[in-house]
Amino acid sequence: MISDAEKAAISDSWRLVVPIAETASDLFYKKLFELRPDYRRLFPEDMTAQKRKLLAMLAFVVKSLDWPESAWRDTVAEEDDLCLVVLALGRRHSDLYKVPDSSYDFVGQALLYTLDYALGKKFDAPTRAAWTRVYQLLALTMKMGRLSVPGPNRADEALGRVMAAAANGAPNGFDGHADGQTTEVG
Amino acid sequence: MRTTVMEGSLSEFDLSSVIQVVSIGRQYTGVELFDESGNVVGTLFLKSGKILEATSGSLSGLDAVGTLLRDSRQRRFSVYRTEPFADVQSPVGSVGEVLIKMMQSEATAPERIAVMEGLLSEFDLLTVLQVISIGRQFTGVEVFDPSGRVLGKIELKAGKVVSAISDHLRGVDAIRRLVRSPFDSRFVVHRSTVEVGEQFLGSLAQILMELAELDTRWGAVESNTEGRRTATANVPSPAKVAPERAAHADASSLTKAKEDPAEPASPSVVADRHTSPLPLSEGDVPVVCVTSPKGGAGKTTIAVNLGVALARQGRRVVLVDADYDGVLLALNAQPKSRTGAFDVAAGKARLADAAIQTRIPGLRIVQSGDSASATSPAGWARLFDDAKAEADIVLVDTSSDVRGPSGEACTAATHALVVVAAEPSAIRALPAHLQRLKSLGSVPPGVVGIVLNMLDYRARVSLDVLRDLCAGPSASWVFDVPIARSTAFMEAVAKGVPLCRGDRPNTPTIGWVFEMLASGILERLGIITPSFDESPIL
Repeated sequence: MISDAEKAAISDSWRLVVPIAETASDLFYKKLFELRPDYRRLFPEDMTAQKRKLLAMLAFVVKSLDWPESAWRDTVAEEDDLCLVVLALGRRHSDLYKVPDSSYDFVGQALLYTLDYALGKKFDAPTRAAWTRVYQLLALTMKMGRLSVPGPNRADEALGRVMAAAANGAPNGFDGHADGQTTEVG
Repeated sequence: MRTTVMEGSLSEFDLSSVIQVVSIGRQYTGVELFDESGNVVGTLFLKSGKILEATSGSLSGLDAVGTLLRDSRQRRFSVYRTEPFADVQSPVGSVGEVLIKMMQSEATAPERIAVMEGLLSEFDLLTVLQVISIGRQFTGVEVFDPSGRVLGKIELKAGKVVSAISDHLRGVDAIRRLVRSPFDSRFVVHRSTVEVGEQFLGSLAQILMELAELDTRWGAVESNTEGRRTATANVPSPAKVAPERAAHADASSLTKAKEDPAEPASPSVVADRHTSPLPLSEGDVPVVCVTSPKGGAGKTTIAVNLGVALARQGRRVVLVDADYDGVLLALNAQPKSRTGAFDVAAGKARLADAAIQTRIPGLRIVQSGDSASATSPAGWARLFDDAKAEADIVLVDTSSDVRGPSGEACTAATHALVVVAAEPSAIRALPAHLQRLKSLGSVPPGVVGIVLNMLDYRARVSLDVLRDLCAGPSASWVFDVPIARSTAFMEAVAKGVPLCRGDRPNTPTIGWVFEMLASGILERLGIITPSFDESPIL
């Protein structure tokens, strides 16, 4: 569904975001609350942990997208599986936070704005298209998460660990490097 | 091992969305689609953005994906993780490719424009097809059962049937099946601008004819099978037992057919029309009882007018009233107490005393007389024998139930002319009536034909009866000319006068229908009619 070219565009652009990740996450929430001031009260006063969660999640997305087409037969662990983890994330958002489907549009706008701002000229048309495409898929997957079946699912556990680690200020969480050298969940 | 990942309805997220979401995962994942009753209607297997396998009914691969994408609204789906596939040599394709292909095929197969939709209970499929066949667009008719399941699809263009599909059936078989969809099925008609190749099944008219033939042939096959079975069973039996057995076998096949309304209702009867159990031997006089599945079909009127028409054509006709209500009486002013057919059949009177010469040369009638008289088939047979001596054809008016004296008269008759009113209840009662006739005596009367009466060309239900009759197993029995409902007819009935009097110039048009009916009956009975007069008019 996501072409190798799109994956490459995501991975390359993310590499440029990583060094300025904190600024980017500031920018993201600033934009989101600008778009929807009413969302502010849904988040805690201290946004530090929230921002880490966002980055951890984005890092995970980028990492799990990084596989060549030829490796499609490979066996992949549940906790590394983008679909399963994002479904779990979506279920969490609908079950715990009662996030309406409409909010995903604003989040998407904020994300693209942030990347545009952070990457400048590097955020060219193909890169924008790739992120747009990926975000649309992720948003769809998260929305569909409410249909997903909770259970003894290692994707859920992995997500829980990532979220907890990010909230506790653990340094890595999901690794942000898209160079294929995976780092264990913290 | 199978672990459910998510479940839901495709009304919330369409199949394309589900596939896309699953495609970002890298597990071996199955997507199953279910119909209303929870049966699996399609399955997709994916891994790492590839569709490994897809099945939907008998379809697989891209075709299955296409079908599932198109027809899956409202279905439920389940996504589950599954064991790795041992051997996937050639996946259907990456989700991206497949969906793009589907979109392209949607784009090249130009937009479907909805034309109409409705219930088959309102307009049946044959009607819908005929309406569409007058158009020149490429038009598809899809039929859905009440639960929304697709039963099949027929595509037409300019009166030609391009394709027809219903599950594993194709072509005429598919149409035959779809025509018999449950009456509360829904149909959707849409048109598109797709180019049609040279291939098509045939014109709708041809196909409808094929359908009718198919039904008749099936009936014949069924009848032949019965016949063979009977023959085998009766090899050592005396030959004269065979017709009785055959009649019995036919009756049982009729019963069987009646139980299953989807099958031809009375096939065996069609098949043996030409091998009637009582073929008219040289010089034999036919005794035709006029019967009908239900009362009020116009038996008496038809009997009288037919009698008049036959007489006009130079036949000597004796019209016998075997109906205990004795409606024929209305035809003259004679009191009912007069000696009649019942008295003759009971052996209490002679035919000569009962028969009355009408004003129409060649037509004599025998009133019912005293219906309390104890009659018997033998008594009626005696009456008919007497009548035959002075007639070319004996017509017998009966009561609709073909029981009691009327039943006896029919038993003694050689033939039956069945009058069916153009109304749905009459046609429903027809198979049972034919069966009843078949069960009469050891040598039941042969059906000479079916007359459709009181046809209202402006009422759809009435036309439906005509169509059903002509499409049904009894089609070859139906006389070419149905008798239309008309004021002139009813007025004549009310006055108790025949419609057509050749000696009067005021015969209403409808009256001449009986001339044709009379000719038709003579032809079917094999009675030689005078050869066509070829002499010039000057």
